[in-house]
Amino acid sequence: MNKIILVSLFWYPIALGQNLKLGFDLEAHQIRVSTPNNEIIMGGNGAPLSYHLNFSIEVLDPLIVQFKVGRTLHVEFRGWEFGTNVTYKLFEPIFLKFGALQHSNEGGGGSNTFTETYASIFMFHFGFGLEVTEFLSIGLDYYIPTSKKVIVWQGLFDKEPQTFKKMIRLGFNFGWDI
Amino acid sequence: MQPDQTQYNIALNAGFSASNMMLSVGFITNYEQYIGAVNNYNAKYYYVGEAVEHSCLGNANLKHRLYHPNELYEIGTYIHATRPGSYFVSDGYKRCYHLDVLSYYVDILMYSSYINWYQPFIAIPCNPNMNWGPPMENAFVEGSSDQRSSWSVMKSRYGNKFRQSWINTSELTEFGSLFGHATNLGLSEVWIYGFKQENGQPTPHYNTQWENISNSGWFYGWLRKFVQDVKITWRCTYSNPCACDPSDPDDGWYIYNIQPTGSIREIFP
Repeated sequence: MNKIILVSLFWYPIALGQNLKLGFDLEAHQIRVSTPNNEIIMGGNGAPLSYHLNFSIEVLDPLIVQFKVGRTLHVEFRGWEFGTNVTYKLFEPIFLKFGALQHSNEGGGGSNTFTETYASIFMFHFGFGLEVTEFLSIGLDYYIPTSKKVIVWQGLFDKEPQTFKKMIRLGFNFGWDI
Repeated sequence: MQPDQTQYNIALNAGFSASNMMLSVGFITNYEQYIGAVNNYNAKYYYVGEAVEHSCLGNANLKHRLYHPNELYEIGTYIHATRPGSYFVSDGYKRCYHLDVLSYYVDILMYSSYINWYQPFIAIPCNPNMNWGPPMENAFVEGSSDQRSSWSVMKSRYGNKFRQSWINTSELTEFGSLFGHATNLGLSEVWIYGFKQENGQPTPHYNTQWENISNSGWFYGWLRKFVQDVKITWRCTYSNPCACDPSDPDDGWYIYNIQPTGSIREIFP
């Protein structure tokens, strides 16, 4: 009986929801890192992109909760990501966003001049977006980590650390009603 | 940095000859410092590390110089003129246009990554933003930790210029397969990169890793192994030597002396 009540409680907001959406996103990012001497935009290898599968629930009319899982292509920032965010429809077609993202930097690779590092980075983000069509929205988010982690060491002989400081992401979010 | 005179002398005094040495002549801010290095230090190989590797934004990696083809030509010409018989060596890992250009100017081109890099099925364009070469190219993607297929691509692409490559001391279980593949590809030399780990500290388990590397190199014919019989003298710590149990090496025994017998022989896999 308890399980039925629990399931019912969980299902209730979903059942009330006006929309369930399933989709994916493609995000381009710019990362700022600190080195022993200054703060710079991280270059790195590969494309500064990430992709996620996502699932959205419109809990109440102006509020949408989204869950997502995916990976990054940027080599020095390569790894799995899990995130959730809340979208608040300010007025059509503008919305505000707030959320959290867990990035697990895989590390282990590299060359003579750079080495990727294992790092678990939890960060909060906020931003705003624009609903372009029923299935496409564009968002811009600012990410702040809860702790400073080294994600790459660079240099052929005297190696220097690059510490993740903050990030901006421009996302193209596709979702379809299910 | 300029080659270290002390380390250079230590290597010579230990029995290494200049014909077995490779010296770094890559300098970040003033690349022309290579002149002093080549003039002052005799070596068979002069190395500029990852001379044309760059990011998707076109920047050189941090603490790294992105060389122009004119600079590469100048360095190579100077080495050949000053040290006839010596070679200009560089390396890289993303097999893009810039690495192709580098291959024209160097005598030997190595693979400097310890993972596999490949061009993705769906090309993702990059803007190298460099003052030479094409303005756009495809982003190369990092693959598995097994770099052997990248070695094979380097061989088919650069032929005899890819006759040396790197193995890193931090490879865990790949020494055997890498030495084996080096044999299969007909490489003539393999260099070991074990300067420091990423945080600047000496590589952990340094001696153990060197033992693993040496054994793998020996097994695949890259090294020769010699053993020497020794005579070991044990003594008993007790005042009455009969108190030490001859069947138990931990019962008061210690090694008093290890005497080489002079009988050295080579062993084979």
